[in-house]
Amino acid sequence: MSASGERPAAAIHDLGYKRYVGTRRPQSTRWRVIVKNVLATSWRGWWRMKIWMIGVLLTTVGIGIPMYILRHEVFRELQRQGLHLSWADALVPISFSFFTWTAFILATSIAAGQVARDLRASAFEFYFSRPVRPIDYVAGKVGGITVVMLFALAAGPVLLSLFRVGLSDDVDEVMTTLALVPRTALVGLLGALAYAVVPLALSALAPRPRVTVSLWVGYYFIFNGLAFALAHQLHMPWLGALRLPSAVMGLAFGLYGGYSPSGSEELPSVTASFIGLMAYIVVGLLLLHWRVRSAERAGMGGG
Amino acid sequence: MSEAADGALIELDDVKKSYGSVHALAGVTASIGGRIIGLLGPNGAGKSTLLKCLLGLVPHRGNARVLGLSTAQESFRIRDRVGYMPERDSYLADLTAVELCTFAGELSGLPRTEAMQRAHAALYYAGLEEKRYLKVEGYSTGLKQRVKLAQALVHDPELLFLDEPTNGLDPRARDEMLELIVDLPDRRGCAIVLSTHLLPDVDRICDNVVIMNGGKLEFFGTIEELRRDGPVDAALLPVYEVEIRMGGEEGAFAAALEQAGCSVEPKPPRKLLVKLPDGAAPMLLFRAARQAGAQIRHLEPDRDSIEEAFLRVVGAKKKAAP
Repeated sequence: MSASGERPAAAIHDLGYKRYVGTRRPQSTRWRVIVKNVLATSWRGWWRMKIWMIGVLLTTVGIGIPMYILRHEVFRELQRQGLHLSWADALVPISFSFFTWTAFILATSIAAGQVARDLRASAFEFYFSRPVRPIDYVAGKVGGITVVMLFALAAGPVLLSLFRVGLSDDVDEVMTTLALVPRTALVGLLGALAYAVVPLALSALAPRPRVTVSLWVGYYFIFNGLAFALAHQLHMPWLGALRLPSAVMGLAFGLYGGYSPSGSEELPSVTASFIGLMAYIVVGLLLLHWRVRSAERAGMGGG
Repeated sequence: MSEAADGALIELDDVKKSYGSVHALAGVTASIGGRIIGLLGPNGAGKSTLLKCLLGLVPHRGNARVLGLSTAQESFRIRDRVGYMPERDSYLADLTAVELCTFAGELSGLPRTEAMQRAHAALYYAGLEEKRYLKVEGYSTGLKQRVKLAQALVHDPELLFLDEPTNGLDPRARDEMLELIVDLPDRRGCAIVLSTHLLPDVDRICDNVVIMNGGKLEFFGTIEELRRDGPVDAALLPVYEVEIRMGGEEGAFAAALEQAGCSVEPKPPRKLLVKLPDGAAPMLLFRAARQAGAQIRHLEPDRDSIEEAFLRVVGAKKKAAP
């Protein structure tokens, strides 16, 4: 230490170093560290996640109010089809059409550049020089983004379905509406997984976040729009399962009684929706794992 | 110093790795130990492939063990005990240096509190105390190199792989980095494998050297052994550089040496390069000096610089190649 109190630039100082002798986290749980990191970085700044979470909250409240006001009103369109369903019931699956937009925005701001940013910053060398397998990396990223998507796609609908239980007039209705809560959670979970895996897989295709975000947005509007148009023009509703929001909506409406608020031919069946979502999830995971595995092998420099 | 650092840190038994028709490692066998080991070789020599194999990142033929652990079966245990400082910038966007090092510690199995404490300590050690709360992506090259060193240290490794740690640094920053590296074995008890193209760095801080060329290990030994590529005992070296002061004619000393069977090459103004005859001891030089009335002011074995030694090892191989 110099007289002025400034340390020489090359001074070595280690705060009384002692070797760590405690236990280490099991290797099989390291992916959870990546989940926590994804959540922590996603939570930073207003525009990435917080503002959209407020949007989810406002949407939930915004749908909850008409649910309460219209709780005794029957959904007239369905009445014509011989179904007796109140607005309070119908608004839960309808709410997915709002929440899928929030999920799309979150996927764009958080997920669609996630792996590309790691590729650009050569972060794979950081990860894979440690006891981290490609499967840990994939599980960590998918887990973290899925948790974010659960806030967007499951939290609101599940709260609304619980609110619907609270609006019940008798025990029988409570039992009937209570059965809808796990169904809503299942739709939210599958939707969240699909909205996490697809943009993550696309984000692994190039080391430039702008490119991968563009790919995701292009896929969402162009490919999804094409699938929707084809399903409508060819009268083949199952093709609509290739459109991510339609697959979520189809599953949601199917699990709530197999109807659609504006014509059954626009939405795919429960089976087609389930297969569509599962296909997206499985193909996305395989693509992501393949890309990460390749990058792991190649990512340690040449020479 | 850890126990492992005292013995063989790395054991290689006919390790081979090919990428298509290219033999990145062509049957490497060695038992490598030491405090600071320089890993040298021209581009494409197989250094990075060797590091990948040692970290268990790429499958290979033959057996390799690091700290006594098999790279084929125990690569994750190896990576828990080994630190790696990559050549390229390698960070996570949006993270500060503290967050990056804490994350690195947690990924290596440390509990969060311990990882955070050690992240601060490692960054402090690397001289980043004031800047550790800034995002790494905004750092200068020198600071990024320091963060890379800190993240490699945070989980308490017994062995550190440093890939070109002084790349892109100005002379002062390079000195500081080398000072940190050379201090690590004593302060932190870890051995170091330093992969670099900068021979002066190796000369300055390494005690052992591995030279690779064309996927083969061409040399492993101390720096002194590399310079002569033979025994270290100076008394056995046959060539000496002698500085003299003469009262009379300068050629008299050279003539006396030649008469004694030496071959002499003058290096003006007052130096001679003398090759002793087979089996002769350096005492012959003093006898010849007394005979010629010369005073020997300075005498040292004529050794190659590390650059010359490196080129000799690598160049000999190239000449031998068809």
